[in-house]
Amino acid sequence: MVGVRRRSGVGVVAVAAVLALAGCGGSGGSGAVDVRAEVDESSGVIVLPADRFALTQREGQDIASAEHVAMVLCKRKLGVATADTVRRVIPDEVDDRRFGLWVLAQAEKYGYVPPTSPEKLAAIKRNSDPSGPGVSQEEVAAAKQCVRDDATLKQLDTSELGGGPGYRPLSEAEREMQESDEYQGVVDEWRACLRGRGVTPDVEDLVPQGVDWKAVQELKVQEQDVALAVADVSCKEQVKLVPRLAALVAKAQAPVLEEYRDEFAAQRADMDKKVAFAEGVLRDAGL
Amino acid sequence: MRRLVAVVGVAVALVAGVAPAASAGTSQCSDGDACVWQNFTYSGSFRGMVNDAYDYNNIQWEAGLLATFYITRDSVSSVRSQGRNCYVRFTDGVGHSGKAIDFRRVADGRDYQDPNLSNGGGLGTWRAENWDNRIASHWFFNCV
Repeated sequence: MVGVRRRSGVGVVAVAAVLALAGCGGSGGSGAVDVRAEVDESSGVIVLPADRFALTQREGQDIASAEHVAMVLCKRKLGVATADTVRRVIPDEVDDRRFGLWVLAQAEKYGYVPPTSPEKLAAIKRNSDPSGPGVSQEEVAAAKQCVRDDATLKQLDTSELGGGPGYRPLSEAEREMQESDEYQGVVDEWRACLRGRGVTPDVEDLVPQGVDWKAVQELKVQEQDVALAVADVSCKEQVKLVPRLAALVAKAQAPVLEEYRDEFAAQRADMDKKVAFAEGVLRDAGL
Repeated sequence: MRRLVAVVGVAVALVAGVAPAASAGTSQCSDGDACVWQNFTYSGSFRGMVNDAYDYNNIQWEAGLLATFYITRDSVSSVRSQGRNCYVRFTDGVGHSGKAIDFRRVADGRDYQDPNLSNGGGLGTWRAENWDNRIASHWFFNCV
């Protein structure tokens, strides 16, 4: 098994930044936008303000599971053969790498190889088996008909989430922050730290040069990659890269979330409805 | 589409005697694969990948004029998710770092491909952004 043991339950969350915006200081209080960045190394979880208006990993898995169930049932109703069965999707490990690898325990044990459960490893193997079941044209046509006509699938559709008018300025604000001297100064500190350890940083991403990505994609944990990963993450810890960058991105997101708060709140409410509906679909299916 | 890279690639390919693929389009994508194309509408050089990929700078196109050249992180313009039992998440950073967009499976009947990433694509918070010439890695998730 390739996996990182995670502490169950609610971890101790290190709040990286509480940004005092005029009229909105943290969570709660007359519908104020929660503009904190939360970074918790023990659980590997990073939560930026905009994330609170997006599906969590768990919520995404529940909706995907419910869609899967509804699709299988719809195809069966249409009398079309499918290799899919009524089941939940396999939960993925928490592995948030938006700022690159950052959990030291993971780096020390697996380098850049992602934590992967035995069940997911088996699924990946099935996915790559050329003799495995394919998808017939009849099944594709049935799937499209189900998407078009099935009330459950229509209600679970997440295609429209993340596309409102507030998302463009949100992206723009993040991009500007990432190009700022403040943000790049933090990245430069990490790069200098890496160079001090004899490791060359990548010019574009928050990873070192020289990682054997081919070995990583084959889930091979190699000594030299572990050494690079430990140097990478140790430097990130030394310069407090993740909490500082998370705080900067949170600072960039905050005014946009505030300006478009009604849109984002409505979207979150829509997500909550879909999540509740998905949980009902799964309950009805005995899952 | 990186025209300059393409032009240079074509010239080198012709000199090297590399033959263009006989056909193009989504039929190039096999069951189990996360597929990427160099150009819009599933055209140009192509690569299908049955496993996760962490750095497109080190993965070669398998068909088309740029076959055997590296995909690189700034040349993918259309994608298709034909995983048998998993969704695909494309990210704009090496090693799955940065932002991401998600695609379901063909068997799910929707949101499994995008012919033009310049006007956004897939699912998720960042789906409305321009994803043309931006994808650097991918991984399979939400498997069944």
